[in-house]
Amino acid sequence: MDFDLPDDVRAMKKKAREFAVREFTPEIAAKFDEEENYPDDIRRKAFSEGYIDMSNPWGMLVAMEEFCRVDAGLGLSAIVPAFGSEVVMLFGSEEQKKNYLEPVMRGEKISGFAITDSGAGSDVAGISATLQKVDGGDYLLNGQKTFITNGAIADHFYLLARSSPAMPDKRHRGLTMVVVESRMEGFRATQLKGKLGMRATNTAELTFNNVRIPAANVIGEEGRAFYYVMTFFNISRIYVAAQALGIAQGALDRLKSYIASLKASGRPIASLESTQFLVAEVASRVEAARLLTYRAASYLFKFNPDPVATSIAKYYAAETATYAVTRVLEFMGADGITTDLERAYRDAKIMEIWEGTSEVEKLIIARMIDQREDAR
Amino acid sequence: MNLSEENRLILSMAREFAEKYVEPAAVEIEKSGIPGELLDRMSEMGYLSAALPEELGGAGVEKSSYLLILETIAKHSPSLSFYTYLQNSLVLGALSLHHVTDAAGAAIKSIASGRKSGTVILDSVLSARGASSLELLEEGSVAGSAEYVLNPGADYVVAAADTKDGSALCLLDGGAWPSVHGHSLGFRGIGFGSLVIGSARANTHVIASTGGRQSVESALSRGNCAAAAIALGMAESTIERAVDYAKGRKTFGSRLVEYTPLAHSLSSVMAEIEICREYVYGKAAEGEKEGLVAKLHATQLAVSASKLSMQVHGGNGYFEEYRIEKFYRDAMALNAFSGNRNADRERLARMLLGDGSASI
Ligand SMILES: Cc1cc2nc3c(=O)[nH]c(=O)nc-3n(C[C@H](O)[C@H](O)[C@H](O)COP(=O)(O)OP(=O)(O)OC[C@H]3O[C@@H](n4cnc5c(N)ncnc54)[C@H](O)[C@@H]3O)c2cc1C
Repeated sequence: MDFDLPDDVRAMKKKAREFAVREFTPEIAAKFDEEENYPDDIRRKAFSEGYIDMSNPWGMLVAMEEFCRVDAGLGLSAIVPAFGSEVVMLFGSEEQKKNYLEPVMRGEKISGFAITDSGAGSDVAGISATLQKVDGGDYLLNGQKTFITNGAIADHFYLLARSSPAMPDKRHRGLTMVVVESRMEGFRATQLKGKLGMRATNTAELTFNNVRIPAANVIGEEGRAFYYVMTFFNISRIYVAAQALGIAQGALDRLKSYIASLKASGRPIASLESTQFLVAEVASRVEAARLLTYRAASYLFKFNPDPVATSIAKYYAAETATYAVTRVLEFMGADGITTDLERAYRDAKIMEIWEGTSEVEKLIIARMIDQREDAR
Repeated sequence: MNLSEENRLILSMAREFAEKYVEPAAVEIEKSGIPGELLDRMSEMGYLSAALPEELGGAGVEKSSYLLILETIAKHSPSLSFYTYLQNSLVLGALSLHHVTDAAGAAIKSIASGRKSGTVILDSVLSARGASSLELLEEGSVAGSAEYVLNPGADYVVAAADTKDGSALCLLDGGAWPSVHGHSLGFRGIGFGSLVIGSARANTHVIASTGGRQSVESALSRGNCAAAAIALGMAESTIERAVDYAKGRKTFGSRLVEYTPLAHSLSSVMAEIEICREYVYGKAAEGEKEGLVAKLHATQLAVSASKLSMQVHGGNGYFEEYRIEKFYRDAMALNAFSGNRNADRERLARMLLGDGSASI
């Protein structure tokens, strides 16, 4: 067991931190938050500096952490253009990789991953969009999706729909994943405004009215996509854990510098044990979240993912993000909510909701923990 | 809870008022401030001077009635409720601690009428950093700046200003230049910003030449039960919305209320709210300690209730449209703007454990 990051990952981490500090200035972060706009400029810069590189997963993971440590909305925006890519990497055809994955990896296109609809989020098998086979083997897609990240800016989506009716007790069957292009006829995206946080990211509602999907756009096999979605989440949740970890570390950073400024001006509160304990409590959780996240990542990146470790990391890191920001804000009071910590407070909450709510993660942990190899 | 005849009457009127006038305006308040006509109606109801005794020109309702008004309004618009508290407990509260001069009397009258509004400079209480300060100059004007100002565009500013041998309580009628910050965390309907103050002698009224700081602190401390009532209203409202949602929303074929984790979390917060409500109306107005206990507890409850409500609402809760996220933001803002939590906790420890406690 080795708790030190290899030199190349450490170097990437340092580079990512420098990038974030340089690019995510307080003015820029405040601007995109207020205007609720996607920072395309930052996307381009991050891409050109190599932060979207599926061949370097550790690099992406620590970049996500360092980016979100400075600003989560901009941080995620920089890396999210490739959202969903793993699913084509793992299950897509060569042609799909060429048409959809490669342009994203060249920084030319943006992808999205569309599961949730207004009736079903946690309950993935409860989604209502449908795929109906038509002459010639193509499909017609109908229905809606909501809360889709990159929804109004992506060129294509990896989308889940029902291709045969749900059978009782076997609802997870009959779900199919297809690639939908935003330029296809019958596709419409409407940006959803008024998010609490992560306002630099783009979120939209999608509707499909007889969108014709070529048979070649089916990912993997028809009817088996529930499994692909779960496999994808086992990867993406580790990146969510890294986002949450970054936010929590960012709160700790801000707490420490605040205390240092109190110390410098001779304020007694800086030296109280209660203040020291706050630092210790937040720091302990941040470190625990980091160990859990890196552990889950190390299994995954060795192609031996452990869903329990992943869900534990995602659940714990998400709760640590809200815990850390809330504790620090309560301590700093008006001195805190007048700084960018208020944005972190708004950003942090989504970590407990997206890509599996904390409740869903707990259900997964409880259900799968007995099937796990004891060595872990 | 034992409600007096007056309490009952005021509560039912406040509910009707809030549903009829506050609920429909709640979104607009957040986006573009409190509409003038709503302030006129608030004034007609006596809400803008509810806590001030009749002989000083206020509506002079019982303290518990004042709390009921704040709680009821907070369920629909925390911003409007906080604004009401700011006028009553803080601005009028600080002014009425002293002999009411002509200038103070005029200010009270126009605040009660809703035509003008006030704010109080709380920087030195709220900030542990030792933020900006104000000075009462010899020629009788006030100079300096303030950073943490809710309702920065107020017509009247009540502030403690340093003098040679202490601090004076001043009422400024003009001479304060606001710069409003966009997009503050909470109470967006009131506005938040900083003030540069350079009042002339003519618009500076010295309300008390000594004990200025103590007056501001005392108004804040007397207002603790009011802050608790706002927090209570926010906690109740955010949880009522979560309960409604959890009864209607289905996942995996079952309603959310059927799942034990959600049902337990919701019911235990509901129980806490009930206990807190009994305390707020039973004891919070009794004394300094009780007010402090109520505020510390209720504001914390507002934070945890709003977090639970957001979680129950899933992705929907994260969007403005469901009107949950507002409580999440405002609860934390209430924590920050109703006093300094660390100082309050120290004070409470000393009240309960004696001098010398909570010092290491
Ligand atoms: C900003 C944002 C971006 C998003 N981006 C995407 C995206 O790109 N693609 C995409 O597909 N989706 C996206 N989502 C959707 C997100 O993944 C869902 O909101 C999330 O999965 C929760 O689903 P829901 O909102 O339907 O809540 P629900 O599933 O209705 O859950 C509501 C509450 O009930 C709880 N609950 C549900 N079932 C149980 C149970 N059995 N036991 C205990 N508790 C339970 C949940 O934990 C939650 O607290 C996004 C959401 C947001 C807000």
